[in-house]
Amino acid sequence: MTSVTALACEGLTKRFGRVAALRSVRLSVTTGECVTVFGRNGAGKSTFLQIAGSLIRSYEGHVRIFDQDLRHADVATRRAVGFVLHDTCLYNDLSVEDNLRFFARLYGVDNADARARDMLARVDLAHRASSVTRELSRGMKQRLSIARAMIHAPRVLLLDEPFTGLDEISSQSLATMLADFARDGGTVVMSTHDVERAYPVATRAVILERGSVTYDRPTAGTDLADFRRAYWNVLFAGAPTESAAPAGREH
Amino acid sequence: MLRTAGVVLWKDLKIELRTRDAVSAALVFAILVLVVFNFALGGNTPELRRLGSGFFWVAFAFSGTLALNRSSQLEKESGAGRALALAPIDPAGVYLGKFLANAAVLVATQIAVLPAFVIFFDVPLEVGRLGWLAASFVLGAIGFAGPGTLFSAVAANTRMRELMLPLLFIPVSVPALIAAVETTSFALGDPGSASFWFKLLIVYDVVIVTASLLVFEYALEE
Repeated sequence: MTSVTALACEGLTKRFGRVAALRSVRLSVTTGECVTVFGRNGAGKSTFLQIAGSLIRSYEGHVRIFDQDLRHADVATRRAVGFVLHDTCLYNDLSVEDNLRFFARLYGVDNADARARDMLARVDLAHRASSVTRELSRGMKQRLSIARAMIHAPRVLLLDEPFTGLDEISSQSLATMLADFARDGGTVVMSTHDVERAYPVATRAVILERGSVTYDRPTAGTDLADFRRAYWNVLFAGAPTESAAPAGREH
Repeated sequence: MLRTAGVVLWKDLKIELRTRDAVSAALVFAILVLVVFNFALGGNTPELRRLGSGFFWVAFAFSGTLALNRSSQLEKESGAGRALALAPIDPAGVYLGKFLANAAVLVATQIAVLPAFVIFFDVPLEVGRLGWLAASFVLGAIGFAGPGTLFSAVAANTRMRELMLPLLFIPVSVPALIAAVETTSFALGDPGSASFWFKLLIVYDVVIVTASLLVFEYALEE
């Protein structure tokens, strides 16, 4: 399968008042990649994903999805993106199945009812199909939220802290689902600070620090321990290697 | 746009049928307001009957605001409205679906309040004028839900949304409320003609719903 650029950012800068959440971010993600963006709270991870997902529309620089500028993206391009936000983004008073049916119909999915049932089975919630969403545990809601984001078969999947609230089995199941999605030609970009769970899933790791990309390497060839060391160096020294740390920022 | 409207309408009505939150809250509140007016003016007086339709619509305005607040709260809860914003759909379809659902909830509230209104205010219901009553209810609810749906989306992004909503949209709804009061008065036996107010209500509804459809996209932006 030929890889094409699914998501490309150039000079991406976003300011909230005087605070720069993103500073001239340059990142290119090809199909089949599973890119994990790590970083501390407030590093700019969620802002980056929200821009890529068209939830934030005022920014400097360019973001392209399948070579189409996001500011002028057509329906097909916007339809190519699925987004798991930090909030579950579900209607708590609808049943589990009705939530998926609603989003499937909203995206114009053919045979929405069957697709909803299929996605429920994939996230292991078929037995709770008629339950009211409010009654689900946080982990179950997170799985339902992932099913919601994938209901229209997107080509790019954005996930903001997807492992939040998931137990070990559900985390493993999500990791398998994401790996399968990428292997089938999909593109995954997720943000997290959960290194232990997210790094093994990723094909490429990016670290954002104060709105800038300070680390961007394939995971192949760098084991978890080495990456964890680099990540801690970024968190405590501002750079992945101690020699590259800015003066005065070592702890 | 119509497909989106249908899906959003289905979702809102399904939630309301399951929870009955908006109708029950609006109903209880409207009946309480009618009881207070009834006691304030003293029962079974000609004055009470003459002013009845005005009190009905005042009670409706207060209770309808509660229902509209509930409608916008649905989209805020758990960030569901953001998932709606992600979808490549026509925002006008979202407006139309929510507006129709709100109008249906408001008409249901009016129908539920009607028996209490008839008893407390001792108003006559003439079979020959029931059509006027139904028209005033439906057109009044449309005139209320039209700007209400738009401004509830605007208020949803503000810090004090429950307070902001009535401040924003009741002034805009005043022409509809006045015309609805006059049409309802005629339907309840007032002499004269309601023709002017009826036409005003129709024109207002068409203008406000069309304008809201056109600007709703901007109301969704945070």
